[in-house]
Amino acid sequence: MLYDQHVDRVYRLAFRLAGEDELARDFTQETFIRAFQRLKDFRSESSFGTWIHTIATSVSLNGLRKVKKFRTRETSLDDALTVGAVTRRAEPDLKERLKQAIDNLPEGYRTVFVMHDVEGYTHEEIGAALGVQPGTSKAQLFRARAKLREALADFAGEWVS
Amino acid sequence: MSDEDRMDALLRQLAAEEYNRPPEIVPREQMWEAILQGSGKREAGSGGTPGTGNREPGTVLPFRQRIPRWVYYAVAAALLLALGVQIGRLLGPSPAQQLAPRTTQPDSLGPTRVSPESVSVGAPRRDLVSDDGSKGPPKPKGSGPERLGPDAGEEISARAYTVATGQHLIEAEAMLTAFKGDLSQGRMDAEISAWGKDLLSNTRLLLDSPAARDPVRRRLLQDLELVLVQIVQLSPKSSARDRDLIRGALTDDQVLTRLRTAIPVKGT
Repeated sequence: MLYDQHVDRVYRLAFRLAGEDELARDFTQETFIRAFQRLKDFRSESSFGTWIHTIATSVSLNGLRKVKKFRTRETSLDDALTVGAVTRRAEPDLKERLKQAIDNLPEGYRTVFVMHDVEGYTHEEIGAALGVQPGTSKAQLFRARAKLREALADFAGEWVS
Repeated sequence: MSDEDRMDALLRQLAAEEYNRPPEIVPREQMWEAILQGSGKREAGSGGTPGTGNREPGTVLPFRQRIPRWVYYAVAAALLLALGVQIGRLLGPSPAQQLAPRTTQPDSLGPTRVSPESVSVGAPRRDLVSDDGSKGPPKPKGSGPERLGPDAGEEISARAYTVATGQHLIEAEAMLTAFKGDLSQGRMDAEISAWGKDLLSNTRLLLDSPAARDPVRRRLLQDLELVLVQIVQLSPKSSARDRDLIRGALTDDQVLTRLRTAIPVKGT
């Protein structure tokens, strides 16, 4: 069934983008509700998976924008960089800084990075979901990686070695 | 592999393992239950259910979803029809025009030939009374909308009788003029008597026809019938008194004058 075939991947993407189970559930449910409501409008020009991930991406990003309006960030990326520059911590700190660095990426960069490098979507799938060309997705991924390297530069020697 | 590539690979690996890592077990059933309880129950049910069945019994759909779609179409069609009728009423003839009786004004009885003399000598402007009894000058022909309604046949029939009556009155006027000439000369033409018989029978037919519905025309035909009866009964042996009675009928009742007035003008 359509729900069973796609719910896991949709939920995983929503969770990766939202970072919370509750938000991920809400986004997944909203995605399928919208998909079923518009099922008659679905054209088989693209696969159902591509179509529903387009909805999922839109629902998740729009939902996150609303959520961010009501939340204040505890730590900015600059603060994280300052802390990281002062002291070198163990791996748990690296994980936290990586998370902050990814969270502070511009929305487009972060989305492409999460979809491609974290969840394994192809650039074609990302382009279809975001409504951009695959080349645009590649360019945004390149810039996202560059920003992450820059943000975590002080760990570069340690990781590469 | 450059350092950047190695760092990218490590970041990718670390992000995949640690960044917002979703739980191993996806809460499918809970989310499906929530989807069913959401506003998209109907569509979700038609899209296939993951073993939890379709819509839960007893669940209440929103009001908008409980109304079948055909109800919207029916209401829209009814509104469209009502709008069309209203537009038709606005653009069509006014109710006054619809209710107004169709003019059966005989052309032969038109006022065009009413002379001041006839009005002054006692024909109390009955010539100006139209078929429907309303006074005043008759409406000009063709002023109203030409419509072919269910009464179109009746209107055509009335016009045919009007034409026939006009022809009959022309003939009667000619006969009475000839008879009046003979009367003044004290002689009686047998042909005029036979002519009078034909006119008398036609007059009676017209009196029994829709042509006599018009009171003015009916009175004229009745007077004409009376004169014709007297003429037909007149014989060479008749006395001078009988001739004076006929002359008096022609004069007092203004039969000949009214005939000439009622005769349609050529070309109208």
